[in-house]
Amino acid sequence: MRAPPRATRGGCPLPVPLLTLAQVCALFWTFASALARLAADLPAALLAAAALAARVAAPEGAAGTGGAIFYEGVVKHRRDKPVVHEFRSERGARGVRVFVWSFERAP
Amino acid sequence: MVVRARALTHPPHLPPLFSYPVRLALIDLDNPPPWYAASGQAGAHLTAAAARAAAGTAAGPVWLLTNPWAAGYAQNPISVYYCYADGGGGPPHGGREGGSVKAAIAEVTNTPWGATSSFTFDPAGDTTPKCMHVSPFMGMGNEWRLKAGPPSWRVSVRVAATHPAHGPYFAADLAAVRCVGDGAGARNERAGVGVLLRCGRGGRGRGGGRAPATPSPTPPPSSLLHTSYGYTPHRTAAWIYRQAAALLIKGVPLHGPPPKGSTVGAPTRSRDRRDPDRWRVWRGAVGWPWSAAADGV
Repeated sequence: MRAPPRATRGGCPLPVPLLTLAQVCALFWTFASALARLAADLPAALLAAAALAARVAAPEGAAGTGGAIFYEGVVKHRRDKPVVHEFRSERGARGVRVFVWSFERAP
Repeated sequence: MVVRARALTHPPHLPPLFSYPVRLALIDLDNPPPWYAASGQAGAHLTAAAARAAAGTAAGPVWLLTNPWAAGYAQNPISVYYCYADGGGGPPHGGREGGSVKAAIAEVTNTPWGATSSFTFDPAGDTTPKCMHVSPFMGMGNEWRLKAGPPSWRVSVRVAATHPAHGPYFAADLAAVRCVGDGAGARNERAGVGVLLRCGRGGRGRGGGRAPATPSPTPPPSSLLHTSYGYTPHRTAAWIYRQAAALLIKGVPLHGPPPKGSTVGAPTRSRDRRDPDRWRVWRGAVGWPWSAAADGV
């Protein structure tokens, strides 16, 4: 069976397309213009971020906190009685697994 | 595969103890702070009137213990409404005597589906059949024992699961003390993003902290408030999913939600045949992709 023909130039296979000088220039211009635009927008972006941080950091005064009391503490999940599931596989091997939060597979 | 179960006094290995720090808000639903409505959180909870109607109190204050939303995100495994008796006050605050809690409402949200089941219970201690498939690592054949002490300088909530054959085997406890000082009433994100970025101190935000025995005499600095408790819903979600991964690695099997039409759990919606007299409200999953299958959860 014959292999399908490949695109060739002068008999040499070209698995990847070559970039022309014009394409390289276009890519460079794209990145350069994006960087320039980013630099131009940077002060405004910083100001916006600072404003956001200031808004978040603004103290919530008496008027804003009169209806809320905050508590700090810890949530703990505790096991009272672990349960072991002993199992025997189809090949006869035995094992033990601890299934603390599960009972539904038990008979 | 042949499987049988037995209880062990000293098991060979166990999944790790799961704990994480929280900073919760106790909100006066009759006079909530502006951020409660502005963040959209008010729409996700009962109103004061609805809570009073459910609890059977005519005009008593209603306070909600919950995890404040952060950046539009919520992660509240359980919120508790404290419904105070008529004619009395709410929790002791600012030298004011506290009222007596007549009833409480638990608002349980399952993970990862985000469906919510609310039901009344006696805060002094109450037992109810498990009415929601809360976690994929636990089945429905359980009974919940709930207890929520009246909020004062401390607040505590306990939910214990009991299996009909194996007895009590799991408990989730919240123990917290009231914040004091200048930042006591501020939300956790008060310090701002800039403080978080330039502050390397992690506070007690590593998941293994202990609740202090007494209220802190000095307010925590803004940086600690932020780095320890900022974006608590996101942190809580991260801890929950990390624990889920640990349980999967340990070999704990998954339990799917009960099938539609089942007599236990979510499909019973507002009527649980095992506990018909209790007030219940069910709200299905709200977020994609679970909302599409909300009826089956």
